[in-house]
Amino acid sequence: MKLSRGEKVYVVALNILAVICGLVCLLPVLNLISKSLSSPKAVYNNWVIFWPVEFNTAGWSYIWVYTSYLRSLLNSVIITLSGTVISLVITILTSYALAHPKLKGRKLLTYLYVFAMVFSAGTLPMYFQLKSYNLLNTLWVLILPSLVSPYYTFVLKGGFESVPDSLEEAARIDGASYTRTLVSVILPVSKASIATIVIFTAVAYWNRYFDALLYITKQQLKPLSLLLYEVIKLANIEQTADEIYGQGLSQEIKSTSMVVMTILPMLAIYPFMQRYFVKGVMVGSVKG
Amino acid sequence: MSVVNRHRRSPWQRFVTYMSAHWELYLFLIPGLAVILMFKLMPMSKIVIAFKKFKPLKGIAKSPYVGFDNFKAIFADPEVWRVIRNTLEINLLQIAVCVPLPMLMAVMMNEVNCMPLKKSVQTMVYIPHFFTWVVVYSVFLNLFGTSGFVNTVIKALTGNSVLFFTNGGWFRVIRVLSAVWKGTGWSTIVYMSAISSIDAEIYEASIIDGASKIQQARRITIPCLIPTLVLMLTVRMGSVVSGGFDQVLAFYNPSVYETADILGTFIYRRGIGQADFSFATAVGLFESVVGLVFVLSSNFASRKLTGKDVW
Repeated sequence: MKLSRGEKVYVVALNILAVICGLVCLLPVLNLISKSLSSPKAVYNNWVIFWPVEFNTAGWSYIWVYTSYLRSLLNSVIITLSGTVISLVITILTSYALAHPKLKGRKLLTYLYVFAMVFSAGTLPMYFQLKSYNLLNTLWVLILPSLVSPYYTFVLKGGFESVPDSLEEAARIDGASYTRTLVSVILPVSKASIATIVIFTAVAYWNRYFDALLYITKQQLKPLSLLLYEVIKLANIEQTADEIYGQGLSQEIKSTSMVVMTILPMLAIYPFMQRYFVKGVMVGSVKG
Repeated sequence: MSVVNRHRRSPWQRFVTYMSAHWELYLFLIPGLAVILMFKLMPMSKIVIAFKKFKPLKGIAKSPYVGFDNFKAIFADPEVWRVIRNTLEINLLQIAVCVPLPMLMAVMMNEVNCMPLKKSVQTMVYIPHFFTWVVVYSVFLNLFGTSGFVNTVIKALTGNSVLFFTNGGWFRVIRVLSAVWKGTGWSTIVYMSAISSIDAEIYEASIIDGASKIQQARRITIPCLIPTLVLMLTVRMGSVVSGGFDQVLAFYNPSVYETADILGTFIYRRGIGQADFSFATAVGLFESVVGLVFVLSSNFASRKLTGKDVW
């Protein structure tokens, strides 16, 4: 197929535009990383662009030593792992049952989930309810309330419904129980939808900070996202005063170090996730 | 024989037979329902605070009922009206910008036919989606803050710096830009999959008719993506009241409360910050009800326009 000159210009322009879009997403982050690893003097004078100037790990050490970074990282890992696993089990069981034609009252149950999805009690009622369960200032309060996402339940239900009935019937005729059918027949063919849900759930658990801001006041229980919020938002108030040229660590280095150390675990597993999410999200998007 | 027998059985016997075969399905529902009951339905009982003059020391049960006084206070409060207007204005603006952009970007990515380049661009544009809003805020503060790159350029050109984070108007621009930065790349996935499902024959036919690449994009690709666009739009319309909370909480500061406040952040500050529990719960209930109306109407619209339920 031969392209006219106008078309060639069009294709080249779009290619360049695509590269620019990619760089717009990447370079600001690269700049943050470089700043966190540069000397205060270089940062103050705006010398740092995309590579550390006068390489310096003082900012990272500061965060490591003077904040509860490691403890918070551990909390976030615990919350994300246990939350995602429990949530996945519950979501799989619920979606399978809701997708099954033999279940009576499916319509009513679906409405219940829709209602739970579209109507929330609100911030304060939730706070008082959790308080009455004595869950405040425990890691459970960051795990339990968001275990069930009606939306992902519906996504997975859609995935299960698209599995050919004959597969399930064959297993049932062979005398397999529902549990057995689910585990050995349905799950293996639904990997893509499950991968979607795992990624979405894990990212949501990892990034959420508002619930922790409300429910957690003990320093050693704070997740990484909340520690980041506190370092960035609360420290900004006292900014500039101690920012004397070249002396000590500027707020900017502390903040950028905190940000970089927060996104590092995510960036580290990003290449492994990427394979799954593109395929999975497409499956999820079929249902909207 | 057996057919006759089945009809003779009592409802109880039929129930037992049915259950002995299908009990597992009901067992599967229990954990999910328990969570829904404990963390979605039970908290609704605490909405009663909105109809009381809640005193923390007395507890919820002993605080006196005041009927609709808190709601009267809401509608008499000019600040609430301002917050409602803000919420709708900013969220609608954000939707207007953030919904069509991914479609255009997907059309653009579709023209990148060098596979390694396409893959690396995709890798880069998906990353911001995985950042929490506070990280996005830091990225933007670093770029648009008083000593950031953008202000350095502006200063060199005009001699003045622009206060992007403390000027109400600019703050909205920052808010929309940050949403674009975080979400556009990721949202292209849906459109990319829609593009890949367009029948290749349509393109072949158009090439025979002498259509150029630009014409193909305008007359084939974009029209084929409109249903997806409509679906995405209706999904987003459902969050026009509740959307943007984590974002605003991460981005705003006291100097832009007047223009940046949305219902969620307002409730947080009044309820937790100033301990005005009953008032904030009442505003929250109002938010939930208005949000519900938006969700239901957007789902209705989706069903009419695309034949699909949002859920």
